[in-house]
Amino acid sequence: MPRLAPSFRDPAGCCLIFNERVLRFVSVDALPEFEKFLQTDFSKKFVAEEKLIPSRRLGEKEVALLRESPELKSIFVAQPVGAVFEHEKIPFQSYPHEWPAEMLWTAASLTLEIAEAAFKEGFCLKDATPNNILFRGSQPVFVDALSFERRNERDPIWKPATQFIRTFLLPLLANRKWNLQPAEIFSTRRDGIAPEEIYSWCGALERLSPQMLSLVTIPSWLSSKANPDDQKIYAPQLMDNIEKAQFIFESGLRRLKKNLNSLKPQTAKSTWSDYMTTHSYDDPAFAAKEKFVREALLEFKPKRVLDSGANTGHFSVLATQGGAKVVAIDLDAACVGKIFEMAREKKMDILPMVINLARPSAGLGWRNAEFPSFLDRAIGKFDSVLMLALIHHLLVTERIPLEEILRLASELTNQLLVIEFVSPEDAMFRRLTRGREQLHASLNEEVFERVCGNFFEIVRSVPLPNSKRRMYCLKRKAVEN
Amino acid sequence: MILGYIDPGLGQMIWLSIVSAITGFIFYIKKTRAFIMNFFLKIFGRESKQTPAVTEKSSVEAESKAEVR
Repeated sequence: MPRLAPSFRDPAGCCLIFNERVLRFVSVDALPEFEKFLQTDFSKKFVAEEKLIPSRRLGEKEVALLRESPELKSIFVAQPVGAVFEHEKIPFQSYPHEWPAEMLWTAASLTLEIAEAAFKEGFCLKDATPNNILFRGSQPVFVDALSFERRNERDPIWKPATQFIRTFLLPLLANRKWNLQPAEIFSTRRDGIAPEEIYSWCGALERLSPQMLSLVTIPSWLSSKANPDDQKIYAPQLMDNIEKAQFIFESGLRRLKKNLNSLKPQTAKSTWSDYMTTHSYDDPAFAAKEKFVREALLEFKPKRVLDSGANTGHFSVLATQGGAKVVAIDLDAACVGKIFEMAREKKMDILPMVINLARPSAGLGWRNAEFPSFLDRAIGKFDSVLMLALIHHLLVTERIPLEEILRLASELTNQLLVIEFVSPEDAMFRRLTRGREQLHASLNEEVFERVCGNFFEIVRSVPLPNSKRRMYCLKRKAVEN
Repeated sequence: MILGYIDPGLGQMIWLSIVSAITGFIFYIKKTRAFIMNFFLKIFGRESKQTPAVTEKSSVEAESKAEVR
């Protein structure tokens, strides 16, 4: 079955990934408007700036081939398809429930930038959700090209503003006030947080702050007083005075922008965010570790690297210097936020994601297929995996068996694994065990190498000076059928 | 074609309509003020230094600031 991307709710068309191609089927009714949108100056400008996904209309022969494909038959039958477009495929997809607040804010900022530009050319966005955005490395890209429609110039209200508030502003507000992470919000809520929910979390005084009043308190009060069956609430309020309608519409966008700017995530601290300055290595040990990783990357020249347990991205940066596209994962949202800010500022090809390798994000949405699980996207997609100072967290904190850790690593990488062995005598290992040393008493370098041998060939290994750790460069064994 | 397939919410939608109505009222106040200002500037023989477009833009910004406060 082709995999449906998260835009099938739009009656104007659907989008899916078929044979590694991103295809968008546009309905007959929506096609004229979509083609007009593609001809606008702002769409061309945003495509040139790599902020909007490029679209190519498929020729008749290509569409005829797709029509013959049994997997796509139902799509052509479901509604009259006016045309099929192909979009660029973003190398690695990440979703809002895997972003730190910094990425959510950046996605919101791009949404408003595009909404403003569209307004100036007589268009508007039909929806305003983080699902319209993917990240190419650390740069946001608006991918739902079918989200644009011609604006009724007499309509002063941008209805998606309410969705923008639920899916961007209120999650950012919750992050600012209670350190609630996007993962905690979007894993269980497709359409963000309702004002009523935030209202119930606030104290009496908090509800009266100016920002809370307009975003949370007044909408909640109105919601409890209004008649939910009153359809007049949703009727378009068209105005005869076009200038006035435009004034109101533009003021609304500007208000959202002001609110967004006031909710910019602040640099957060966490247990692991200062690790690079507080870690247990002395200078020679850290220099030896860095040299080992650099040499391995230089030798194998991976194009796609997964830095697992990336912390603040020191080794991700090292990998990009060799020209690799890096996906940097860590369970600590504060660390991932730091990587994102650094990568975005220096325009590095690093995609940071909040992922706990022991509990990676599951498939979400309709049939668990709208947002595929992290492992569905990651397995077999990397030339190199870095697992630095990670193994003891998986062994001790998560109680994952060594063989399982190496099996997963061998499935993630097609070639290289750079892994740091941490002995049970290591200070950090001991700190994590908390009196359970006996559980890991049998673990030593010999056992580690023996288990590695099931999946990898040892290219080389080097002990880190003044520590109980050893670096390994491993090459994946050919898979037996 | 206005498809509008997203859920607009209930309280949020009413609040959006109220804020739009207030903004519409501000629009008329700004227009009236600009008209009166231009009228007196003409009487005293001075040209308005701002073009109507600029006046419009700055009034939008002033309104937006007032909303945030």
